[in-house]
Amino acid sequence: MIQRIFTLSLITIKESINKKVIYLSIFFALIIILVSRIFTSITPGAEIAFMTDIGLVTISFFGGMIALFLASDFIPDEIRKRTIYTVLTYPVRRFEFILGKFLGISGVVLLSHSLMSLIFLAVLSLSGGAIKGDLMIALALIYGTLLIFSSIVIMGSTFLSPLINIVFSLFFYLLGHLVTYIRHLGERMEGAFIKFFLIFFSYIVPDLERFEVKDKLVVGSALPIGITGSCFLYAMVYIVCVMMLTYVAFNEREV
Amino acid sequence: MSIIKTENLTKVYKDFWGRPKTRALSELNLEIHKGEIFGLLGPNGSGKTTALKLMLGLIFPTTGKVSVMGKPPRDISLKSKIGFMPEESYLYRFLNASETLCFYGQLLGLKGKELNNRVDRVLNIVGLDRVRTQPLREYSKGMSRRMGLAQVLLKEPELCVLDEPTIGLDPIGAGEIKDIIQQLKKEGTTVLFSTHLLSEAEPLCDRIGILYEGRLITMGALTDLLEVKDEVEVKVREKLEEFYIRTIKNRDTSHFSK
Ligand SMILES: Nc1ncnc2c1ncn2[C@@H]1O[C@H](COP(=O)(O)OP(=O)(O)O)[C@@H](O)[C@H]1O
Ligand SMILES: [Mg+2]
Repeated sequence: MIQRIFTLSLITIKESINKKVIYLSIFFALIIILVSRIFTSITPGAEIAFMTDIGLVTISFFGGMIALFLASDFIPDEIRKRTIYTVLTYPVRRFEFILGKFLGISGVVLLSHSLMSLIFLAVLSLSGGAIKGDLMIALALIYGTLLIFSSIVIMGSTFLSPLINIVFSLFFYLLGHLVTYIRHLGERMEGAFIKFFLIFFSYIVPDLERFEVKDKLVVGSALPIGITGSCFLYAMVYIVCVMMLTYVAFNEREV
Repeated sequence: MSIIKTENLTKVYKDFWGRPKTRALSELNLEIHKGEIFGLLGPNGSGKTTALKLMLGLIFPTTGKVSVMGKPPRDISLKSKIGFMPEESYLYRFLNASETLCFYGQLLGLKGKELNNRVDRVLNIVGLDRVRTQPLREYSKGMSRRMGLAQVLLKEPELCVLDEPTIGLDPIGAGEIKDIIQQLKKEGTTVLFSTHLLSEAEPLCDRIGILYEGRLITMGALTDLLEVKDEVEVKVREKLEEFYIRTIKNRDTSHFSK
C-alpha cells in the first residue's frame, strides 16, 4: 500500500515537473525579492524588516499559486484524459489514489517552496540580514498553510468544476486568515441561527491565523513557545479530515 | 464456470441534476465462461463500452448486478487478474514505454529483476522494444494501441477485457492484435472484447452477443447463430454480415440460444 501511494505520488511529481506555472512562479518570486532589495531605501533603518515582510508574502503567494493551479487539475486531468481508467483497473484503492495525488503536490510544493526560500535567504543574507531560527520557523509554517490549501483544492477537484473549485478554494483560504474575526462577528450576532452558522463556519475554515507569524518576526518580537508543534498538529488533523471527505466524495464518483 | 455474470444489468446515465438522460444498457443477462473468447458486437452507441465499464467497476449499475469471478467488480483482489484496454489507449503521455510499464508494474507490487524481465517480455510481444525510450506522446495510433495491450499483458491476467481493440488500425496492425488474442486463449486466458466490426468477431470468437440500443438481441455460439431456422433444409449458412444486419433490423430474439 505504502509502495503504491509512493509510486502514484512520484508519477504526479514527474508530470508536474513540466508545468510552466512552477517556473513562472519561481521566476516572479525571484524578481519581486530582488526588487524589494532595491526599494529598501523607502524604509530607512528597517531595510531587513521590509525585505522579510515582502519576501514572506511573496513566497506564500507564489507557493499558493503553484498549489492552486497544479492540485486543481490533477484529478480532473486524469478523468479528462481517462488515464484514470487504467490506473483504477490496477490494484489501486481510491484512497491510495487520492493520497498519492496529495503527497505528489506536497512534494512539488516542497521543492518549489525550498527553492524560493533559498533565493530569499540568499538575497537577505547578502543584504546583511541575519538568518535566524524564527525565520526558518516562519518559512516552515508557510509550507504548512500550503499543504492545508492543497488538500482543500484536491477535495474540491473531486466534485467541482475547475473554475468553481479555484474560486471556492481561494475563498476558503482568504477566510482562513479571518477566523477570529468571523468568530467574533458570530458571537455578536443577534439571530441564533446566523450566530451558530458563523461560529460553526469559523471552525470549518482552516485556522491560518495560527500560522501567521510574519508581523511578530518583522518587529522582532519572540514567537510563541511551541508554535511549530501546535501548527504541525493542527495541519495534520485538518488535512486528515479533508482527505477523508475527499475520499467520501471520490469513492462514489463514476469515472 | 462463469467468469463474469450479469443479472438484469441496467445503466441509465443521469445529467447534472440527477435526471435520467440516456438509457445506455437495459437488463443485460450475460455469462462469460472461463477460457472462451467472447465478442460483444453492436453498432456505435449500442452500449458496449458501458457494459464493459460496469464489469470493471468504473461506473455503477442503476439496477441489476454484475459479479466477476464471484466478487463485486470493485474488489481489489480482482484488479491484478483482469486486464483492461480502454477504447483508446489512455496512458501518461510524458512517459516512455519502459517507464510506463515500470510504473504499472510497481502498482502490481513487482520490483527489481522480476519487473524488468516482465517489461522486456511484454515489450517484445507487442513489438515496441525498439521504441521503448520514446515518449508516448510521439507514438502513432497503432503504437499507442500496442502500448494499451502491453499494459494488459503486464498483469499476466486471467481475464482480458478489450474495448474495440483494433479500431483505427491498419489491417496488419489489426491482424497482429488478433494473433495476440488467439495466443492468449491458447494460454487459457478468457477474453472479452467489443467491436462494431463483424469481420473482427468471426474468426476469433467462440461466442458472440449482439447489443442494439442497449439491449442484447442475440447471443450464442457463432456456429449456432448462423443456422437460420427457415433455411435449415437448404443448409446454406448465411453470411455473417447479412445475419448481423438482419438481426439488428428485425431485432429478432427468436433464435436466442444459451
Ligand atoms: N458518461 C456518459 N454520460 C451520458 N451518456 C453516455 C455516457 N457514456 C455513454 N453515454 C451514452 O450511452 C450510450 C451507449 O454508449 P457506449 O456504451 O459508449 O456505446 P458503444 O461503446 O457501444 O459505442 C450512447 O448513447 C452514449 O451517448
Ligand atoms: Mg465504445
